Amino acid sequence: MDSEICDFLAGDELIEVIPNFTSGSIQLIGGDMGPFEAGLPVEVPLWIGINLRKRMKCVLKVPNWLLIDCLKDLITLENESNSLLQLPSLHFFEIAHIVVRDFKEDLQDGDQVKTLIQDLWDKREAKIRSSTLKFLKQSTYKSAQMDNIQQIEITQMRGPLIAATRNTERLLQNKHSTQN
Amino acid sequence: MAPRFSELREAHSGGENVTHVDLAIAPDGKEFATCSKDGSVWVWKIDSFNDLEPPAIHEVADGTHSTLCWREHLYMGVTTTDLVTNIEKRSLSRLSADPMMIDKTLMLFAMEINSIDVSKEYIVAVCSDCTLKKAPLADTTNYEKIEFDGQPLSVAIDPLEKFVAVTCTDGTLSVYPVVGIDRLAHFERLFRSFGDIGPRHTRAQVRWSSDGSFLYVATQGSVRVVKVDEWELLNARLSSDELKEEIFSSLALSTSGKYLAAGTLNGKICIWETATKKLITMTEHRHKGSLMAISSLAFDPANDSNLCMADIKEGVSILYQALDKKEVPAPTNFSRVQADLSDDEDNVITRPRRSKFLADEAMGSGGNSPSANFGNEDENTRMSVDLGAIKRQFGQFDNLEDDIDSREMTMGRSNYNQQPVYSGPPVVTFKPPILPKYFPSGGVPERTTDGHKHKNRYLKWNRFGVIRYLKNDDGCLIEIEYHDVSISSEISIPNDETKYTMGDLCAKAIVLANRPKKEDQSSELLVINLLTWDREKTRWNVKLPVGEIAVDVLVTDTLIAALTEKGNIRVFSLEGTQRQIISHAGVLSTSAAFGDTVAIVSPFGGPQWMEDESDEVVPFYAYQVTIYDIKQRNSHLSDVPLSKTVPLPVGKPGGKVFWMGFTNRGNLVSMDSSGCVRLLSPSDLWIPIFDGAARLMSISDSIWPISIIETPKCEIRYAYCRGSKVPLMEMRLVPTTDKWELPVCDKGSDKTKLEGELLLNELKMTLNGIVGEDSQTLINEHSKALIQLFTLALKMEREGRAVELTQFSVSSKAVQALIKYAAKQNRGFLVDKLTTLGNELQEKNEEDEGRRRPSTISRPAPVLVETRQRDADEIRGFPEIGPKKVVLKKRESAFSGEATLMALNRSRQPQHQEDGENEKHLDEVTQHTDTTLNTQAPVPYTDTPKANPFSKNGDFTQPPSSANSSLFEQLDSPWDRKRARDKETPSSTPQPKQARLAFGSSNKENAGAYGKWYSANEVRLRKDFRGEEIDFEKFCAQSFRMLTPAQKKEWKARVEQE
Repeated sequence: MDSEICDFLAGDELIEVIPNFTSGSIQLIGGDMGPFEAGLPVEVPLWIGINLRKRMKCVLKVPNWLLIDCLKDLITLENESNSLLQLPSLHFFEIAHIVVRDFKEDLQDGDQVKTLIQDLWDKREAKIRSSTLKFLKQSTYKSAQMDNIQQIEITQMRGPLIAATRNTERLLQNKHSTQN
Repeated sequence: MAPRFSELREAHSGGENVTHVDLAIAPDGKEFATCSKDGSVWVWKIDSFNDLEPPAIHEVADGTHSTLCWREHLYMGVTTTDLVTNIEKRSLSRLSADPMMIDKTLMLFAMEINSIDVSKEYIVAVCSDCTLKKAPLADTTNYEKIEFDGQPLSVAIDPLEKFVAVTCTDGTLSVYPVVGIDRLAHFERLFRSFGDIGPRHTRAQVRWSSDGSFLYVATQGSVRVVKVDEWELLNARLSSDELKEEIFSSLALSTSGKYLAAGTLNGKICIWETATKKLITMTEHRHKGSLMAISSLAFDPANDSNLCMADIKEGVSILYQALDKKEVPAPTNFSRVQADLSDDEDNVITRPRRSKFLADEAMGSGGNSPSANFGNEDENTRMSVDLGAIKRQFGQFDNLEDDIDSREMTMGRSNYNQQPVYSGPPVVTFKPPILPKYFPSGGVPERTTDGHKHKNRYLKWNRFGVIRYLKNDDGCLIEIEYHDVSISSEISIPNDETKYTMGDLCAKAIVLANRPKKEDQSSELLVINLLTWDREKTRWNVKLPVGEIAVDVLVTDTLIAALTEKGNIRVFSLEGTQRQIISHAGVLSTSAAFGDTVAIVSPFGGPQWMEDESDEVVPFYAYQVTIYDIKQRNSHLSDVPLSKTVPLPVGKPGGKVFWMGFTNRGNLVSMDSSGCVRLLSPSDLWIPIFDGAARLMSISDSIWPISIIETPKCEIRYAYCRGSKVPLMEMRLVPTTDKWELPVCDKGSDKTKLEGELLLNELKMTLNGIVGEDSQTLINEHSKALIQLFTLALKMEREGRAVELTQFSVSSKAVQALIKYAAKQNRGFLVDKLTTLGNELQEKNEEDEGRRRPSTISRPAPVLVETRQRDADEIRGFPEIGPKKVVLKKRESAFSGEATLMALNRSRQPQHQEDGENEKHLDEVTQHTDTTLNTQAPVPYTDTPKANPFSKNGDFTQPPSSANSSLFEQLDSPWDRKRARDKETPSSTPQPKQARLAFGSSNKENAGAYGKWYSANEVRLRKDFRGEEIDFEKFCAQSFRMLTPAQKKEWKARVEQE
């Protein structure tokens, strides 16, 4: 699992787009999509939305949680909370990244949105890092639980965490063997 | 000296706009600034104000929000337009002193800023989007935001910079700390709540006392006082008996803190002493003779006696000697009442002596009456009431110059705007009701009800697309955008010269029109015909006759209609031929069009009067809608009425029409000001189908209908406007879809849910016509709902209701099903009753069939979905000249395909039949075709819904149709079904998974080579075979295959010989 796979999985999340064409339902393996009526919002998977947008067939209806005021509220809550905040979507960062990249014309103040999302990412990453370091420093507990962590955050920290725990294991083994 | 006003100066737009004007005194106390909505700040010098010295006018932004605050710098709410993106931005900005222009934008807002306050270190502002933002002046990016239920009106920071007080349109006052968002105090119902902020509503200003220990709030009937220590609303109010009916709006505290001035919506200015709460003076302000609401007040810092004021008609004045209690010196020969009402001794009415005026004993009584003062001096009395005297007594000086009795009076030129205050019962000034102005349905009017002008607005937003009117410094532009780009790409039309201000669009054409300002000019129409085959001539113009000004334009697939101020409906064809000129009887309120139908709403009858929520007596009108069936062809042949008038319900008295349109099948719909959408059924009944008010999250929100859809689903599409009655272009609204919902009672229960479904189904059947494309589906759904209600009634032991429900059935099958169900439930008596009823209904139906007549005024028959790809047009009740259309039966399932083919063959037969025997059949078919034409639109081929084998829902095999499943099985509880399944005997023999070959068939009569060989070798094969009986045939087949080709040929030859 890497960030590309996370991006790919996020493509299955539903978003609302406003098509500029009228068509019946489209039958796909994963399910039926539509019917599409020009000017009316319709829910489609993100990957279809990207496809339609690239063909200039739709306009994105930006999710409420990607508006500037909501992002600022999230950052405020993240600041106030000791643990990780539950984000509005399981693929929050992936979807935000895709929206900023592929739907930038439909996003108001895209630069500000990017900045806010980066802020949020940094805050959460700092929390995860500090929790991880605390966990690695102690030897009483062998497992830990962290709630509300996103898939992409797990992907990000998996490598270093595994390497760190293996190093710790090796050191402990050496210590025990020398003691014995 | 008594209080006296300076000369009234007109500022900003000079009274053209009726809007709030805010006023702020400069820190040095020598000047004050005013701002309105026109984007400018006017700075006046206090000392030379009365010398009529012109103010300094500074254009600071594209628009201002009638709110400003002057501390070290001037802070105000402004609207600026980005030149590149053309997006309007609303912000709280700081202005530099010289030159006065925006030097820093402090905070951005989504909507207009209603109030600002600045202290030494903090700044706070409230916005129409129900939010408040407060921040330290040093770092305004780090602001705190608070949200309210209503729109905040006024905000003030206390002198100690601890608290912030806010009033809202919901009648509340809240107090928050300057830092932090936890509310400290909250008071409700201080004044009547209202929706839109406007000059006719209170500003509900708040002011802190100079030491911060008290908080003053302008409320209804008084100024309320809140004690800060305990956050207690004191019972003692700043008011008096005469002020109980007044609505206080603006407040001002003198620099010394001793005096509090309050302005009302009726033009009164009252000043109290804060320590004693005693009313010192009360003065009236008039603007060109009429009492005018006070918008803002401010004391002169150098002199507490001088009070600067601005009214809602942008009049600015200074009230000098505002605190003086002495009698106002009479401008020559005027009668007046002493201003100080608390002093009875002075409460006299003095009049000059007039030799010809004769007292009337009936005019007054007591020592204080006018007659007492002059009746004794005159020799004669006269019984008639002297109108001039009454006017003078009651302070009405408007027509004094015309008064006969005033000829002897010398009307001195007076600099005073002040009028004496009347101390008797309140005199209500009669304002004759004005007919409501025309507004375009589906478009935003140029000015809202509070006089605010929209720069950028939607000329039309309907189910086809939008027409936008954009105006900025570079010029004016019309943008037309279709929802479906396949109809047309975006069209931009420069509008600087043509100045189009109204428009409409449909799938085939776009029409725009302008409204000239000069009387010698005429309106011009521009039509863009998208579907003309003459690709080079898609546009055409026409000018209306001189003096005939267009108020609205409508376009449908067949016609273009221009409504004019003279009440004419001018009809053009899509290519520009003038076809009809019809005069409409009545004032135009709004209109809509569909196909060949134009509907116009007009008020009818005179105004009716009622008390509104604020106990004001307001006029309202009843409405009616006239529906014109405009024929472009053969209109001279028509001998039936082509127009009809139907009253238009607008909800409770006082309601207004908000929107009108047609469904996509041509049925008239309207929405009233309370958000209720009603549909006009073919039987001329208005049926409420949607309640918009239930969807609103706040009273200041509204829904903006875009379209009402009948097929394929009954839906309403609208835009949800937050904090506004109309969609604003800056909001980037997205349409929302909702289903039709009849307002049934007790929505939670199953019974009413089914009743609602039944009602809706019956409505759909009414709309669909007697024989429609979906009539069978509707009948089935109706029967299903009825049966469910029936079973519910039986479960509740309500047999009477069950019998009654049977009367509502529309098909005999439903009645039979009910009878069967009753029989299953062993209700013998009920069965008998239902059977009798069923027979009666059957007879009645047969009678009704015979008596049914078509309606005299032809309605547009149900129309297909209007898309460019569809060729089928509306079918009229009159025979069409052209090839007869073949009616195709709708395929219900694959098994009825044969029936469809047969029907097709039958319909095609008239072309090929020559045999006389079939003439009769031909006649029947032709006749059938004819009647079908009249009553049924040709049904196009539609694909039967195919099942999606990969659907996640698991609907693999059957298309969604419950036509074949038993309804009563559906009604059984899940446990019954499970028990039924358990009882089924499982099949005894397991089904083989692989298809069996035909070789081992038990049919030994098969005379093939294998069969021959088998019969000859069966005994041997059975001896050789070791295994299960089931596998014997397989063994035989394998043995046959192992034969050589020659052997196989031999057996084949044997078979052939035989």
